[in-house]
Amino acid sequence: MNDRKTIESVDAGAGRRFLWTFALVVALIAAAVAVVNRIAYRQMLLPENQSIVQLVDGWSRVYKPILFDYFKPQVSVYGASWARDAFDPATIGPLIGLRLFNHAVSGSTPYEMRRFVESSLDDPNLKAVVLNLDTVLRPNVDVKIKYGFDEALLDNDPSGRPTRLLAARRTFATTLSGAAIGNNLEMLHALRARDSGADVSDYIESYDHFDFAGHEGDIQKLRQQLPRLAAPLPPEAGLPLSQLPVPPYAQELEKMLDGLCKLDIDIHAYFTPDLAVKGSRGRGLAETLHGLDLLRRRQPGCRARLHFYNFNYPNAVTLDGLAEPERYSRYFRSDGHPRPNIGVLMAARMFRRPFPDGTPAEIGADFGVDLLAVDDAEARLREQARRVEQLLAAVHSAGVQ
Amino acid sequence: MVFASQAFLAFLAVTLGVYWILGRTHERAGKAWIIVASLFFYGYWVPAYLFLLIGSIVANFSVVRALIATRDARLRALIVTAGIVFNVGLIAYYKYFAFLVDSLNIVAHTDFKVPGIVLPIGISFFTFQQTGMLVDAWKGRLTKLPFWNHLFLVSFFPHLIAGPIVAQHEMLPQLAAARRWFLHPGRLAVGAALFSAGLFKKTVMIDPFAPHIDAIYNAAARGDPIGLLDGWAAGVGYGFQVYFDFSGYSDMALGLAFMFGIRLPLNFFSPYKSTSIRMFWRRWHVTLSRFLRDLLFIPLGGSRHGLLRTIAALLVTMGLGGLWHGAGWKFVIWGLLHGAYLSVNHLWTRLALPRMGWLATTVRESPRLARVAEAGGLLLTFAAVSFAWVFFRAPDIGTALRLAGAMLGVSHSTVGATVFPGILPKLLPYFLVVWCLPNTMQLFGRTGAILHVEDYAVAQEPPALLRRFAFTPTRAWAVCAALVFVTAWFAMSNLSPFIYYQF
Repeated sequence: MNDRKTIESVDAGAGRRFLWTFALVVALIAAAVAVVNRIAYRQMLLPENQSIVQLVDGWSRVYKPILFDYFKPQVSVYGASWARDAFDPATIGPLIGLRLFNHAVSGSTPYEMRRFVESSLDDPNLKAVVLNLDTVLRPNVDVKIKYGFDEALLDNDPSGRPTRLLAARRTFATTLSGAAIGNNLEMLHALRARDSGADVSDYIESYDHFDFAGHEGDIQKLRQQLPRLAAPLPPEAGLPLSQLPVPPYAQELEKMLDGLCKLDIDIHAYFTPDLAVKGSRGRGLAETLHGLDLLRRRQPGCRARLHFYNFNYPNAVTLDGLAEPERYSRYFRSDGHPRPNIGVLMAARMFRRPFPDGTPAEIGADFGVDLLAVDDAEARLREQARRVEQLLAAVHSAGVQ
Repeated sequence: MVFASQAFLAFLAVTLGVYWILGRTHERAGKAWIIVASLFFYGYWVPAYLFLLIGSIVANFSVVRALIATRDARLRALIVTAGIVFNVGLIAYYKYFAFLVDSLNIVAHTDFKVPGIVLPIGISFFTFQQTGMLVDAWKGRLTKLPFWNHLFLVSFFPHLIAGPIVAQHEMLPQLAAARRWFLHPGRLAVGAALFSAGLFKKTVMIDPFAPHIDAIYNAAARGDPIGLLDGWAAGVGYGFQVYFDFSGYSDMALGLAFMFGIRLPLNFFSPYKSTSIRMFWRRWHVTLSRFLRDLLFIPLGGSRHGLLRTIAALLVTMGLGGLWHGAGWKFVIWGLLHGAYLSVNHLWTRLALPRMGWLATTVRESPRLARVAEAGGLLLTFAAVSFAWVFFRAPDIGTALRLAGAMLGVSHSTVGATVFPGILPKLLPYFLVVWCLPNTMQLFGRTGAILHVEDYAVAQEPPALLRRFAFTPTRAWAVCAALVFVTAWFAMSNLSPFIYYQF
């Protein structure tokens, strides 16, 4: 082993020139990126930009825990894009009279949602949380975490210990990480569109509309089902809960509740409404009943006040587009996610506020109920599930024809 | 501390900075500083395990010194046995105790509580490395060992927790008393470029792909239908994941070590270009293969005592090699599968080929046939290795069998039941990289940073095209390396820890 040989393999002068160039390129890129990112980050902290910051996708897995701690909200929403699209802090905050933060992220996994909740628990300002149960009980993902999720940016680690060097990590993440670059370009683009007077749906996708064109067959079939849906169904016997499959990620909800139940807050758990014309995504009675059962079992020993809503059954929102011919959906966006006006309705129901002026009377009469506060919750859910099945069968047969 | 983390980059900057200052003022202190930094690096995760590491080092050093000082052969045998028992006991407790209790509960229907022992990172590596030193001392190949050199050799942070597993004869001459400990710009340049390449493999090339692979294994674990192509995507995809992850780590380790003027041995050399399973094991985790050969296969008889003995030695070696990777029967099955592959290879070369001399002659004489045979060997080796990976990665044997069944077409699912169509376009670039591009050892082979690279002819005599791209300390290379580093650095979020940390 000749050490002298290794020393001479690249001579000092060439090495020095290499290192200077290497360092210079790294420093220049890092400095340019850091300047742009810091400017963008300051924009992200402005309250008037929160609709864009919280509803636009991008690198919300990195930013939302940081922004949560900055804004110290009184209400926080957790879940995947069904929740992210629905809850616009700029409209719902004033309605419920509380500072709302939308902590939902696109394609959230059950684990990520639980960790975001756990990261928020130390905030004494928190008065209520809204949990989208679709994300945890009906997830459409198999992975534990997705790209951009970083445990080290949360307030605590999975065992509950405070994250070491959190401020430094977050400063780096918002200054020099790929997460910062990706998010800031997207957000700056949206801010520019807003300032140039573009329509909100041009820069916040949550505000676009589902196009009924091409779904005429489905609509026709569903319309034929409407009279039958109005008639009360016989009580559904169905399978007992014990024979219904337990959702695979139910333990994540249990863990969320472990932390939340120690706090003096309101927990509003809900299943999101789905557009019937597009075909229901969450048809599982099992998940809904298990969700109900899990919350019910937790209720006695829980310091927090639990509420549970299922908005996903045939009602004036989910049957949008059936009553009268329309080109675009009022309540759902192009990919079938709820638009922010559904978020307003759901928030009004959860926080016992009046629906906004102009809300159709049938929505006021029948759109979600706190199932933990009624005696016949299970029977209602089974009946709702039957109706959803009926609708799905109609859409399916239309599709087959 | 994980190499691909902001904390490590900060640690590295401080370590190099202090080392540079010491090199200008107190050159002899450089070695001590590297030891201090290495111990901090190890203790950063769980400080308490620093005592375990130091305890293991002190105990092994004492055994080595005792072996060096003792002449009596019987006593020496006793001492080396005691040392090996200590090392095996240490690793058995931390790594295998829970597994043994669990297996006992299953076999004997007992109900012993399975202890929850946190595995100290790198224990398999530093224990294995020191066991090799004990054997070397026993055999008289190690006759002098200052304590500080032993401490440096084992704790040197670039290879401490996931290798390469370094033999004493590779490292100790580099720690000679006459050595100068200072930051050499040439070595730092090579090290920085190699480190950047490894970091890029990890954070840019493979980590974003990992969740897609996880999805197939999760689906299989849940009992979802798995089709034939899903199964192969699981095996092939994880093969790429573990390769880029671990070879990226090894590149980083080699680069880091060379920043301090230390050369570590080559650990990977395009293993998926292998045309036989024996060639694969000469190119995959080379330093582990070497230790398994020297410490298990050869003492068990090697290949010089008849075919049956060779096969038995192969199966035992690879079975134990599998168990070294993790405390679980699935790792043993993975190892035994490779033992079986190697046995088939031996049977083929020793029994079948001699009887088919005409075939060898025909293939040798026709370049086209030779290429076909090579391609066939490459595909067969790749398929066999990919098949075995599902046992390595699956969370349990049941899931592994479900995936293996799908790969063999004996599942009841359709050809591509769940995820395959989505994952196919993502797999293609990896095929291109592992089969068509030169590896980092070839690119950096002539820098003097890598031990044993000369054993791989293609690195010594690279084709003309490769020579053009091989590392040279030019400005163009510096810009490219900086761009690679910056891209990898900015992508450093949402990282999964290095796969081999857990071993």
